[in-house]
Amino acid sequence: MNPASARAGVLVAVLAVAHLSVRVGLGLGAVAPDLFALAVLFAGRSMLMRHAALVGFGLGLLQDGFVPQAFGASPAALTLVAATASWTRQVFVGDSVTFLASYFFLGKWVLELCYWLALGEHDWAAFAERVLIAGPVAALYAAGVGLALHWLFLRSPRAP
Amino acid sequence: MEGQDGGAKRIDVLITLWLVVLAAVMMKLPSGAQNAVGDALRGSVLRPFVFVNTTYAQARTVARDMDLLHARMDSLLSRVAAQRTLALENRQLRDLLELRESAPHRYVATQVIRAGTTHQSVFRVASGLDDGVRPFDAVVTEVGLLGQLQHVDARSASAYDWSHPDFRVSAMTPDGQVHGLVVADRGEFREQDRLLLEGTAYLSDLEPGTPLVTSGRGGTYARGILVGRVAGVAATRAGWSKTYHVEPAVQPGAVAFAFVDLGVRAEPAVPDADAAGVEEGPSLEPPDAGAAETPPGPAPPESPRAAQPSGVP
Repeated sequence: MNPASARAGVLVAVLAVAHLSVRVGLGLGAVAPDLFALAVLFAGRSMLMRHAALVGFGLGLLQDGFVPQAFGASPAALTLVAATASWTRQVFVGDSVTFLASYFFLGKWVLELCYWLALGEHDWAAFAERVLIAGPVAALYAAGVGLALHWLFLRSPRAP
Repeated sequence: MEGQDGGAKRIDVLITLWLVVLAAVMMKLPSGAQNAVGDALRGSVLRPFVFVNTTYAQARTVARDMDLLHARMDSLLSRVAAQRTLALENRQLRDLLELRESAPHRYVATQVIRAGTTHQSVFRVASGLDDGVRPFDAVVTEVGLLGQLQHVDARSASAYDWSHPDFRVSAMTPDGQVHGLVVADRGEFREQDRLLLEGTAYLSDLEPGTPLVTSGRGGTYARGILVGRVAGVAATRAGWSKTYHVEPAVQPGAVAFAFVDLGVRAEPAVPDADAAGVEEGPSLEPPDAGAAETPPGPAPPESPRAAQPSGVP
């Protein structure tokens, strides 16, 4: 495992613990960014698809530990997003600010869409609220935090 | 080399599909199996976070909600003081009629915990089987019905509030003349959620502001808990029935403390009631229950503290 992958793996683990600590432990809910989403998006950029999918499934399972009424929806959504994120690594190369911002924004937004689809409620009002209104705001938030985390922990050393 | 890459990609896709199928199977599992997995997760990996949540919520509540608790205590004390004479009269009348004392309701005071997860109608309470609560017990506040317990662990329980699509409660007017079934009516946004009273008689004519209380039918909810107040006619089925909009008595987002209504159980649910915080309380009927002719309107403040805009729901 190269140092960049190891750093990404550690970052994914730290994000998972931080998500549970902030959203569940401190009960901040949506006030805190969705660090599970960022964890699977970072995992997708640094791990094999199977490993990223496993990370997504595991994090989804933890998320649904508190929502027995929608059990299974988060593992499905996070697995799909993690696998898709890993697939994008083969298609899009680079870590420019524009690319990463778009990547985190779209990743989080698609996650909201996948979660709504997995819930299977077919409630268009909930779709409008969750995906069309709150979704882009949460995605912007996640993109901002994702960029900051990337700059802090995964930035490539500048060539001399 | 290319063949190896192709094989690895196929394995990746197969594992991903398998995990998605596994998640789909989990969604279709019976609720008992889903709860068993959830219990196992909360009792192992998630346990530290649940502990932190409970501890932090308690500390925050003690620090921040002291004024709120004072206001509620003042309000309840004034209500109890006002009803003391009634209780005495009631006892004397029962003695005159040689009626047996009615069995008191039992409540467990509990804390409402919202774990910050995605399902907005679901919350947890910090009481479980150890405190004597059971699945499907009602969760109430001093102003009315909040929701119902669903799955109960040893020390906590999950519940949904009245905005959940599965919420149902049999309700009636305080005089018992009009009965119906109250269901959630979810708005386009959560702030617009309210209730519907369905299945009332077509000739029923409920004025806006009329209180609705639980009827006790079905045995899940005790009789007389305030559900909400009629807001207006929602729909009519000519010659058959009317449906009314109902403004709920309790706003779930504002609730930090609640009671679990243990009902009237034959055997004491908890051996050491004091240790578990079990209280025998008065019925949670609204002050005007039984007096439907009282004109609707905002109740006068019962104490100076309660009159302050302190966020008392």
